[in-house]
This record gives sequence, C-alpha cells and structure tokens, in this order.
Amino acid sequence: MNTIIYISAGLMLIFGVYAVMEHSILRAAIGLALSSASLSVLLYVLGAHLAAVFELSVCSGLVTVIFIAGISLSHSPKMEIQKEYRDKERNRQLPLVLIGAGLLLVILALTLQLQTPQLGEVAADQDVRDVLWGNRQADIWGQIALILCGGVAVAVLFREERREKK
Amino acid sequence: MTILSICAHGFVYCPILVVLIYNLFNHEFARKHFIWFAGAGATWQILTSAAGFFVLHQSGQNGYAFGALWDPGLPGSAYFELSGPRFLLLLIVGLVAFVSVLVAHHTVDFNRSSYTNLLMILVLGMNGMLLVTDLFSLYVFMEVTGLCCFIMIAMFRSRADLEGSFKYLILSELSSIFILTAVAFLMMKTGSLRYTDLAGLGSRISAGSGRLEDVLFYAALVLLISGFAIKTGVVPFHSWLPDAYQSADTAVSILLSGAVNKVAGVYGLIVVMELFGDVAPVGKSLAAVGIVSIIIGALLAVRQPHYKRVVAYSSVSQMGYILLALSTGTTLGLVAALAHIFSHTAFKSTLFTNAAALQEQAGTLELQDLGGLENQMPVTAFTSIIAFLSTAGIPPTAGFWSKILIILALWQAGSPVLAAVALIAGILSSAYLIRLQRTVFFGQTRPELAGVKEAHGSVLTAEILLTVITLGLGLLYPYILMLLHAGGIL
Amino acid sequence: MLMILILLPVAAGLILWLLGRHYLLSQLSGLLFSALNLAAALRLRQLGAFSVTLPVTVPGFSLTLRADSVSVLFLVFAAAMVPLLLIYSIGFVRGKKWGGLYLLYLCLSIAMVNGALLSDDLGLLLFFWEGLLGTLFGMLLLRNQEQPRAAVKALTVSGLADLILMLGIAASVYSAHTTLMSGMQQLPVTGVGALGCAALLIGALGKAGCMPFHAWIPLAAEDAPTPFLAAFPGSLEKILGIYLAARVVTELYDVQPGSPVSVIVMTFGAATIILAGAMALAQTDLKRLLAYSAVSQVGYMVLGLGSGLAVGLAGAVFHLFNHVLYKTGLFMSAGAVEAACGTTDLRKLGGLRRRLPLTAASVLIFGLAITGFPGLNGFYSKELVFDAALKINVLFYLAALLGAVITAIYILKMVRCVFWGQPKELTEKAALTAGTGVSGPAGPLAAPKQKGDLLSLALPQLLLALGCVAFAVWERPVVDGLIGRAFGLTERFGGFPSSALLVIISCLALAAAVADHLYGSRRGGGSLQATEHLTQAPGLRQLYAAAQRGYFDLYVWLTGAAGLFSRLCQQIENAVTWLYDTGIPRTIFAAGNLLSDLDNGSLARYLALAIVGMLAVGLIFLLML
Repeated sequence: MNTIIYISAGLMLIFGVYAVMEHSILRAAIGLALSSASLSVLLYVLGAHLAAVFELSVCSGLVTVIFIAGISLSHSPKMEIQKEYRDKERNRQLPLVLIGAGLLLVILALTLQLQTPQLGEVAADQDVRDVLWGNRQADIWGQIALILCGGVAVAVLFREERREKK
Repeated sequence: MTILSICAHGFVYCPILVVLIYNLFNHEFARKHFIWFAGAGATWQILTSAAGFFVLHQSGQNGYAFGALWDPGLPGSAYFELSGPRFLLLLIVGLVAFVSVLVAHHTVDFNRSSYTNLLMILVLGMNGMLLVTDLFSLYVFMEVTGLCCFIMIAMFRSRADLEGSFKYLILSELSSIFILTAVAFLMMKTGSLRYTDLAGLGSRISAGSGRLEDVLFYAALVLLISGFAIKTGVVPFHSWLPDAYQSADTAVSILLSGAVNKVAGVYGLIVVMELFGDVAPVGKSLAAVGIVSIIIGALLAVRQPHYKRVVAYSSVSQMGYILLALSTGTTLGLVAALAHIFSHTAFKSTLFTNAAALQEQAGTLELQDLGGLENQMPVTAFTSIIAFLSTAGIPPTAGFWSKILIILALWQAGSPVLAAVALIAGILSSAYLIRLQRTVFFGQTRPELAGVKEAHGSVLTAEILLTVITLGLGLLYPYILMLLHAGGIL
Repeated sequence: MLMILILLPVAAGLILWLLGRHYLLSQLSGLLFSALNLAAALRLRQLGAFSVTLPVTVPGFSLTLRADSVSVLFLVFAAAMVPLLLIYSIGFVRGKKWGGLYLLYLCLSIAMVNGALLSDDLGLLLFFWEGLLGTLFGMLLLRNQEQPRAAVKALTVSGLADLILMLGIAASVYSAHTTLMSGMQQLPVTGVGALGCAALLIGALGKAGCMPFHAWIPLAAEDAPTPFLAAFPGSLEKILGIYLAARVVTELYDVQPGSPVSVIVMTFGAATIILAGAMALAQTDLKRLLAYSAVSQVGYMVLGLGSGLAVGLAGAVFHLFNHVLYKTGLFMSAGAVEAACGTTDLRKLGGLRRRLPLTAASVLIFGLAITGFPGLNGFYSKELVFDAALKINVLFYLAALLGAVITAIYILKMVRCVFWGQPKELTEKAALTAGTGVSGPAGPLAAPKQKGDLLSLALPQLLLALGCVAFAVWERPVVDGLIGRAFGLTERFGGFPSSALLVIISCLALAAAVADHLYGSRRGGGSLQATEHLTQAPGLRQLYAAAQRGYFDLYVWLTGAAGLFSRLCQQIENAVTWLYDTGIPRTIFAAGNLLSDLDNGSLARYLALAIVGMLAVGLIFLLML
C-alpha cells in the first residue's frame, strides 16, 4: 500500500512540475491532467473514495477538456502564448521556490510539533457503495449533471473546431 | 404525492428531463423550437417555486427534506431540503432563465441546442446549490454551475469569448481550490460537512488555543469567504467579471449577472453567514469587501468605454451592497440582502436585455459609437431609465426599497457609518448611470444610427416584463414591509 | 358630521366658481350654503363634545377631529359671519374677471378655518392652518400677479409665524407625548414646555396679526380687494388665531398670571396696541388706517389672553367677537366708500353722510363700538380687559388706556374726514362719472341697475351694526352664557362693570380724545389735520419717519437679513458649484482612470489581486481574533 502512495505522490509532483515548466501550454494542460489523475489515485488509496472519483472526473477530466478546447480553438494557437511564456524566464526558478516553501513548512511543523488533527467521528470505514449511494445521493446527482455537461462541452467545442477546419 | 413533493422533486428532475426530451427531437426541429423547451423548463421553475413557497407556508413547516433518488433516512446522508429564503433564489433562477431564453431567441443562432442543454444543466446546478444541505454537495453543484458557464461563454468560439471564458475559468478554479481546501479543513475538524453539524462551530472554538485544527478552522473561513467572493465578483476578486460579461453573448451575460453570481457567490456567502456568522471577523470582512466593492466598482464603472463593461462594474458595486447587508448577520440584514438580490436581478437583467436590443439594432455596444437613440428606441430608452432609477435607488422602484432596507439593517446593526457611506455611494452610481443614459439615448442622433428601429419580439417582451417587475415591486413593497413589520423583523 | 363642515365649503366654493357670472344664482347658492353651514354648526352645538378619527393613517399622526364647547363656540361665530362675508363678497366681485376664483378661495378659506377649529390633532391643525395661508396667498395674488408684493410679504411674515407655530407644536408634542390636543392637559410651562407654550402663542397671535407679524396687513390694504380685508384681517384670521391662543392658555398649558410667558405675551399685546394705534394716527388712507386699527385691536385680545386670568380670557374672547363685528363692518363700509367714490384717500373724501346715509349710520355705530363708548359692546369687552390688565400690572392698564385714547382720536378723525365736511373735487368727479349715482336715495352706487350691489353691500353692514347693538344689549347672556359656559368659567363677568372708578377713567379718556381732536382740528385747520400735532410733535416725528422707512417692519428686517444671507449663500454656492462642476468629477474620473489602468486585462494581475484579497480577508481575521 505504501508503495502506491509514494509512487502516486511522486508522479503527482513530477507531473505538476512538468505542467509548470512546460513551454507549450497544450502539454502543460495535459501534465496538469495527469497530475490530477495521480492525485485521485492517492486519494482513493488513502480512503477518500468520493473525493477521488470527483477529482478524476472534474479536475483531470472536464477541466482539461475545456483547457485544451480553449487553447486549440483560439485563433492564434500556441505561437503567441508560447512566446509570452518564453519571455518570462523567471518561471524557471518557480519549482525551486515551491519546493523550498514545502520544505520550510515541513521543518516548521516538525519544530513546532503541531498536533496532527484528529479525524472526525464519521469514519471512512463504511462501505464505498453505502457511502456513494446512501449517504451522498445529492452528490451523485451533481455527478450526473457534470457528466452531461462534459458531454455537451465535448460536443459543442470540438464540433465547432471541426467545422472551423473544413 | 403532495404538491410540495412534486414541486421539490421538479427542481431536481425537471431540468434533466427537459434535456433528455429535447435531445430526442431531430436537430433542425430542436434548433427551431428551442424557445418552447427552454421556456417550459424556466416557466416550470417559476411556477413551482411560487407554488412551493405558498404550500410550504400554508403547511407551517420550516422546511421540506427530500432525496434525489429515494427518501433521506440514513444518518449523515446528504439530501436536499427546501426552505423559506431558498424559494426566492429559486424563483430568481427561473426568472433569469426565462429572460435569457427570450433574449437568446434573438441573439443565439448556431448553438441553440447546446445553449438549451447547457441552460438546463446550469439551472440544475444552481437548484442543486440552493437545495443541498451539505457543504461538499454545495461545492459539487458549484462546479456544475461553473463548468456550464465556461462552456456557455466559450461556445461562440470567437477570440474574445475564449479570452473571457479562459479568465473566468482560471479565477473560478482558484475559487474552487479555495473552497475545496476550506472544505477539507472543516472536514478535518468535524468529520461531517452537513450544515447542521457545522452550525455554531465557531462558538465552540476559542481563537487563542493555538491548536492547528483551530487555526485551520479560521483559515477555512478565510478561504471560504475568498472563494465565494471570487464567484460573486466583488473587489478585489472582481477582475474576471467585466471580461466575462463583455465577451459572452448577451443571453449568457444575463444568466451570469442575474443568477449565477448570486447563487454561486452570494448564496455561498449566505450559507457561510448562517453557519459561521457568530465568528465576528466573518461579518466584518464581508462588510469590508462590500464597502470597498461599492466604491471602487462605481468608480470603475464611470470610465468604461463599453456598455456591457459599465453594467458589469455596476454589478460589482451592487454586489457590494448585498454583502454589506449580509454582513450585519441579522434577520433584517438577510431580508434586505435577498430583497436587493431580487431588485438587482430585475434591473440588471433589464440593462442586459437592453444591451441585446442595442446590439441587435444598432450593431455595436461601444459607447463612442452610440448616441441619441431615444427617438428610435423609445421603449428601450424608457426601460433603461427605470432600471437606472432602480439601480440608483430612487422611488418608486424596487431598488429604492431594497436599498432602504439595507440601510435600515445597517443602522439597526449599529453601523451608522457604513449606512452613511452606502447612502453617499448611491450618488456615484447615479453618476455612471447618467453618463450611460446620456451617451446612449439622449442628445443628437448620430447620422449612421438614423435607421435604427425599436427592438421587437421576445427582446421587447423581456424588457417590458422586467420593467413591470421593477415598478410593480416598487409599488408593492410597502405591503411587503408591512408583512415584515408584522413578522417582527422590522 | 364634522367632515361636512369641511367638505361643504369646498363644494360651495366649486359651485360658486362654476356659476361665475350668474349673479343671482351665486347669491342664492351662497345664501343656501351659509345657511347650511350655520345649521351644521348649530347642530354641532346641540350634540355636545365628541370626536371622530379619520380612517386614514399617517405615521405619527392620527387624523382626529373633535368638537367641544370651545371649538363649537368659535365655529358658530365664524359660521354666523360667513353669510355676511359671502353676500358682501359676491356683491363686490360682481362682473370682475377674478371674481369666481376669489369666491373659490374664500370658500376654501372657510373650509380651512372650519377644519382648523375642529382639529384635535396638532398636525392636522397645522395642515389647515397652512392651507389658510395658501388661500390667503392666492387671494392676494389675484389682482396683482405682476407685482405680488403684498402676497410675498404676507407669505414671508405669516410663514415665519407659522414656522414658530410648528416649532411650538413640535415642542408640545415632545413634552406631551401625544399629538392630540385633548391629550394635553395643563402642561407645565417649564423647560421645553415653556418653549412650546411661547412658540404656540406667538404663532397663534401672529396669525391674528399681533406685532411684529402685522407688517403685511397695511400693504394688503392697498393692494387687495376690500372684501378680502373684511374676511381675513377683519374676521377669519382673528377668529382662528385667538381660538388657538385661548386654547393654549386655558387647556394645553398651565399659564399662571404673572409668569414670564404671561408677562412677555402681555408686553407684546401692549406694544401692539400703542404702536399700531400710533401708526393708524398718521395714515391718510382709509383702508390703511383701518388695517392698523385692526392690528391695534388685536393687542387688547392678546393683553386679555396673556393675563392668564378668567376675566382676561372672557374679555379677550368677547372683544374678539365685538372686534370681528365692527371691524368687518368698518372694512365693508370702506369698500362701500370705495365703490361709491373710487378712492379711499382721506384727503379726497368728505361729506359722504348724505350720499351714503346707511353706511354713515353703521360706521357711526361701529366707531362708537370700537372706541368703547359706554353702552356699546366694545365698551364692555374693553372694560373686562382693563380689569385683567390692572390686576397684573398698572403699566399694562395704562398702556391699554392710552390705546383707547389713540383709538378714539383716529376714529374721530376718520369719521369726520369721510362723512362730514365738504366733498372734495375728486369725489364730485367720481360722482359725475357714476352718472345717476347722486340721485339715488341712499347707499353706495345707487344706480338702479345695480340694486343687487346696493343690497349686498349695505345689508351686511346694517346687520353687523345690529349685531353690535345686540351684543351690547344682550351682553350678559353672551359673556356668561356663551363664552363663560364654553370655557367652563365659574365666575360671572357680565353686566355693567363693577368698578365705577374704571368706568369714569375710561369716559375721561374718551373726553380727552375728543378734546384733543378739537384742539388738533383747530390748530391744523381741519379734521384731516386733527392728528398732525401728534405726529409732528418733536420726538414722535422722528419715530414716524423711521417707521415710514420701515425700521419697525419685520419684513424689512427679514429682507435685509435675507440679503446678507443670500450674498453669503452666493459665495458658498460658487464654491459648491466649483466642487460639483470641476472638483468632484475630476476626482472621480481620475480615480476611475487610475483603477481602469490597474485592470489591464492581464490574467496574472487578476490572480494576484484575488490572492491579495484573500490575504486581506485573512488579515482581518488575524486582527480581530
């Protein structure tokens, strides 16, 4: 179990850094999606099933779809945006800053010996099915709406693109 | 099946049903007659929210809980609940959807089927936000709402659309991050996100304890407020709003300003106030954001070169009033906020409908290209004046009463200074409104606009409908005030 | 029932206005209306005290009408005056273009007076009170729309008095915690109460024309139609003002004799008697003379009311009634003279007793009454006031006595100038232009085709003269039966004055006045110059000159102050205009530009802004926790 946690956490970090560093905005979006997907694996393994499903569908699914659609539909694709990015060389230092900040947080937490928060009494040991269909039916409904929405999004945005290409 | 349960389930089922039925028809037919399907959905929403309110009021219950699929029963389950103030917002959703459909009949051409589908899902998303009793579910439906909006803004695939949509998307994601983090922090503290479990949490936590989870609780509040403030579009979280409103199609702008930023933003803040209003800084930060928003929004509106941008910044300013009313944390404050939400919906939708009319007839919304349209478009000019009067809070319009209520609420809550500032800032709003009215409608008619005609068909209908609502409410308000008085709120 | 008294005059006014040129119909409907009005008032008297609250809610006020003995007393008296005023007015305005409007205004005024007399709520009272000011303004405007100086002056001066009244109402409501007069019983005259009492009295007496709120009346005498003078300064305003003052003194406030408020009010009264009387001495115009005389007579009522004594109250109210009878009559006579000769300038009039015997006879009675000739009604009321004044302070008594002497002097001069002596040339001319006018048997404008005028102008005078005599004959029932019972006075003040000494002093004063008149006439060489030895006397002459230049005129003070104020305002206005036209827009536009530049469309900046906002909210939390 621990191996999966470490692997997925590592993947998430790598994809995240890739997304930030990549010059092509399209690839960056894909990196983000992958990072998000690793996060959902991590969440599932840690027991937050619902959050995992949700993360997968919304963050790595739909948001990426829209990102990519937006980028590919814009009339001056890639070049301009990439040029903007290239101009900003300081972005190269960004991952270092992020990692440094993370380290600082960890050191702070260790030195101050902050109490780790207790998990609430509604435990995560319930059956996933019970949780999903019994307790969270409102969220299911929302999920249905999201999926519908995603379908329409794909239909609208990509159909338009096809028409544009013709 | 009681009437109440039909109304209640309708809010959840009806939009999806409309989407399903609508897509059964062949494409051309659906494209041609979209107004009937979307209009029916919106009308249903309006009727059931009104009927539901009266039935619930008659029955004397506080709320009506129901499940989406089967009855709520399991402890800890997330279910839907109908209750008093939500009805007003449900009604607003229906009304705005209806007006948007009327306008879309003129402005939307290619994407009518997608527009209808997205509109219905958007309505479902907003209904969901209003009905759920769990912070996480609230977040889920907020995402639904947000997604629909991105697509609707981007749908018309012009560069401006995409830019506006992209900005909205990024800022919205920031807000999602904020809210999701906050939800996580709260979950850590309580283990449950139901409103009933969260309510009153603030009083059980002392600020000075220094324990991480307590600090995180306050951090969660900060994040919640910021997240919903982004969705509301108040200064300094407002930057996406003018771009999005300007670039979106007018039918979509109406949805955004009339319903989405109220349900996704203000309603979220209402929930925060209801749950954590006893934590003093919550109210104070809302008041601070509100007052800054009122002033800066108005100042920004004065110098905008585009009709829709002026109206968008005016939205920023008006949202400030609503937050100010909410910040009092009193019942009167809540009532005032809801009242202003309703007035704002009416008059802001009027202005956007007028924008649609101008776009259709005059072909532009750049202020420097407009002028002297009073004679060509008398109805539009008149409805515009009424909407301006309502925005500036001048009787006998609905805006006057709701602003009075806000000022009363502030006064009652012991912040006369805020009340005074709110009152004086009203002058600023008249400034940008007068400028807009003068440049667009008054003065010499530009020669190239000489052939412009009055708006017609459903746009004109929407203009008149909204103006009637604004004026009618303005005349009806004394009665509402009497009800409030009888209820001991005033 | 109470509403009828308010709505009836309004309806009558509309009818009279519409009837316009139908003279006979107007007269008939006027008569009918006044009869109804009187009947309603009398019926109210039978019903006794009761009140009605209108079903309309105004926040802070309950629109309550109330009829009790005091208001009914004044109401009946006013209703009794209405037919005379109407008949005279309809006759006077016959054939004039503004006649219909004039009658409408007059009827509206009657409605306002009725309403004010019946109001129990002070707010409602104020409404009718201001309504009367409105109709007064309208009537003054009628003939002088181009140069409405009298109207403006009346509005300013009376408006000031009404403002003070408003202040008084506010203070009274504040100290009584109710707006109903029936709820205010004997409020103490201390602190806010003193302010309320004083302001109410000043407002009420200002309406009645007490100094220094009289300034518009002489001006109106020149500009306004004569029936207006008879109706407003002559009767309606006096009735209303004294009514409220009497209520304040007897019911609302606990005014003790000799208290500061009482002394101040009495000082005003005494000053009014002497100063207005002195001004009357110097007048050479009949209407102006009568106007000053009307102001002067108010002083007696103020003196009586202000004393806070029962005898003073009875005297004041009785004097009011008498005054309304004879002063209205005198104004009507002046109108008749004007109609006959086309002028009221004393220098041009003379010898009219042959041409206008009825008028002359009634003026004689009015004159005797106003001078307080023993046996006539004015005598009784004046003696009562003298009695009250003497009980407070001998100075007030002396002032009142001096006033009586002055009154007698100018009335003598007036009567002799107008009705005795030789007709002046202009009178002849006017008579010639009037054609057959001279050959008429009696009365003004005796041309046969104008019989209606004869009747309508002469009859009210005669009736009023009869009223004077009747009040003298049945003086005891009036004083004790009507006034005494209405105010619930226990003592009896009717009958011949008990103190023979005072009567003798009064008679001596009259004799002194006659002697002075004779001396003055001989010295000046005619009755017209009979007062010159007084007005030209060293010391007094300078005073008159000052008065001529308006040094004692409240209106002149007001306009002077207003001039200064307006210059100050002009400066402020300029500054404010600059602020609005240049300062504020520039600031707003500059701020708008600056902020717009900040919103430059850069996504990075948007994100940064949002995060800064989040941090700011966090800061608020940090600071507050």
